[in-house]
Amino acid sequence: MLSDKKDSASERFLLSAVAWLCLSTSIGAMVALKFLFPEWLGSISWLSFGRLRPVHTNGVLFGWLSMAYVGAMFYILPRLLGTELWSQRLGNLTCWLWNATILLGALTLALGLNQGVEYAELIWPLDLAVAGLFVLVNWNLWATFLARSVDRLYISIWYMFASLLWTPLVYAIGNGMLFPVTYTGGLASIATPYSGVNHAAVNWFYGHNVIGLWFTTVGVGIVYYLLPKISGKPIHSHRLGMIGFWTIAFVYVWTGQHHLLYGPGPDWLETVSIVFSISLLIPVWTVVYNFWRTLEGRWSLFFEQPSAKFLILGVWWYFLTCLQGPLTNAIRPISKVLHFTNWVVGHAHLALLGAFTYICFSAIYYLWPRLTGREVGAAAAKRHFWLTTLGLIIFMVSLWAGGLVQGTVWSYKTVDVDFATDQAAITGIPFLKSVEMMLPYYWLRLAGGLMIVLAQWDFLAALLRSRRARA
Amino acid sequence: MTPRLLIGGALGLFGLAVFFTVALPYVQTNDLPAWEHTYRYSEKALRGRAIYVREGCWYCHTQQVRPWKVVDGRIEGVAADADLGRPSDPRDFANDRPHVLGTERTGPDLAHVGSRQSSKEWHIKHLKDPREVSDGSIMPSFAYLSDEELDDLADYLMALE
Repeated sequence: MLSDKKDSASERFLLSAVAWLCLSTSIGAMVALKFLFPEWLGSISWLSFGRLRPVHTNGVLFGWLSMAYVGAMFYILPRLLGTELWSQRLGNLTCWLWNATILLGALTLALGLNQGVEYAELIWPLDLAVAGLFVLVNWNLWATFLARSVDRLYISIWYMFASLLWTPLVYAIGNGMLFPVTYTGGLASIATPYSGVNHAAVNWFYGHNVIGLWFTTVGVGIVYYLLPKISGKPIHSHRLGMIGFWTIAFVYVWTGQHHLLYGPGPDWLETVSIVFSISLLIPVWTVVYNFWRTLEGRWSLFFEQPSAKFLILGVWWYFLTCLQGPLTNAIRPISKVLHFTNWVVGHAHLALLGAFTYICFSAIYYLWPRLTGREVGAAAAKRHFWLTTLGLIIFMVSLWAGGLVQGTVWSYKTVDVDFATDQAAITGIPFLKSVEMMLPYYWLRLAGGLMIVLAQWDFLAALLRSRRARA
Repeated sequence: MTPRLLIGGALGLFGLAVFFTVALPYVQTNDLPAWEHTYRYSEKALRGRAIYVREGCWYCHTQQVRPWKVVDGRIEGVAADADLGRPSDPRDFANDRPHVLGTERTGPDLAHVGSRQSSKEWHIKHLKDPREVSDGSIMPSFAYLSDEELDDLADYLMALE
């Protein structure tokens, strides 16, 4: 069980991650179905919409993506540091504990134990467990770092080790773990030292930075590792990569309040978040430009390897989502129309299901033969890519178009001023009309989503088939 | 030298941002004093609020009205919120732990739902069978809650004035 075989922890993490991907996206599809059939499985509390939604989001964030990241780092970092992973046994133990924590998380969320903070729903004891897991990963990888045989630190090392430091801190602040615990409302055992609008600000400091300082920065670190490996060319500019690292380290942390534009929180904090959000275009550009220049003349790799396919499209989704974030969500005049609509849901999926999931797929297709000695079937890989991509495009278009519909309908108002009394009467379109108008888009989303789910189960089966062939 | 730069730089830049975007807002906005429009909850309404959190109502309903006003017959600010009532003030939420401002409007905003609909009977009926009183709604039914829980939840919703 606690094998000390080389790379066994990496393989176990990656396989667990894909299993959570299948389960969590399936639950996502169930939730999508409930938009169309609200009564479906609705009489059972733990299968109701409000209980399953956090299982979906926490499952993809902390089950799928985070485990895939740790699995990739356990392989990549020892290579870049010119040494072995400090302890495969500790790595494998971390993997078992991680799976147990996610399982407990899913069960407690389904039972309604919810802190009420988006992406930080897990209750306090599980917060401690998650923080503990990050400590274990840090321990293993910093011990590896100390045993390194190289002097010059490649870009990926900067991105990954900085993320390892930031994430437990972001997590502790977001969950209010650094303060004495106060319980209110008994039922949900809600622990928070924060109140009202300040809690909202902390919520989005956390929600945004767990994306920015973990999913983004480790993802970019993986891209910088895979790019030269897959293209067979050195990175275009190491210096540009480091400029990207320092700018993202400086800029990202300040942007959370753009989730609350026009909200009741402090206006100055919103303005700060807008300025820094737009500055994010700088580090994004360094990644995309470096990628573009390194791959120059090698674009045909797209047709040759599944890892190249996913990497190229993943970086493209990254570019798109990083333009969409600052330029549409984080600017007041556009946010006031699109905030609270499915446009934002589309943005979140483009980043996590588009960019970072594709980067993880690229890593898995690249690492799998090196971990198991067996290729994933070429036909299965093609199916996986095209079905996921077609599903994702349908999914995205439905969310964006639906978001534009919602935003326009809600913003349409007529004002009648009675000049005798100086009273203004405002009429809008009834809210339920906008719900009715969304139904075709919810159907489209479900169709795209089901294609994505199907592709992931097929992917898991392909990985298991190749593993069996080894044994 | 390089590892020290990595650790010091990463943590230093992080700490700077945390000071400005977490510590300062904490000093400025945590535990604000109440005012006339602060949501006030009875013990029963607080239990209802915990049910609101537990059942994930806040995933589909916001509780924040963005600023708007009518100037010379035109809406200034956020037109989308102009029929939702009084724009929210930070002090409204002084008693809210956790906050439930929300991020999505799959259903309507509830910042002033208690003023819009003050019949407890309506709320309970709506929670049990949304489509009976609100044709075309896609809200799930909460008929699986006990009568007492539904009563608490309705009390909470009516406290949102």
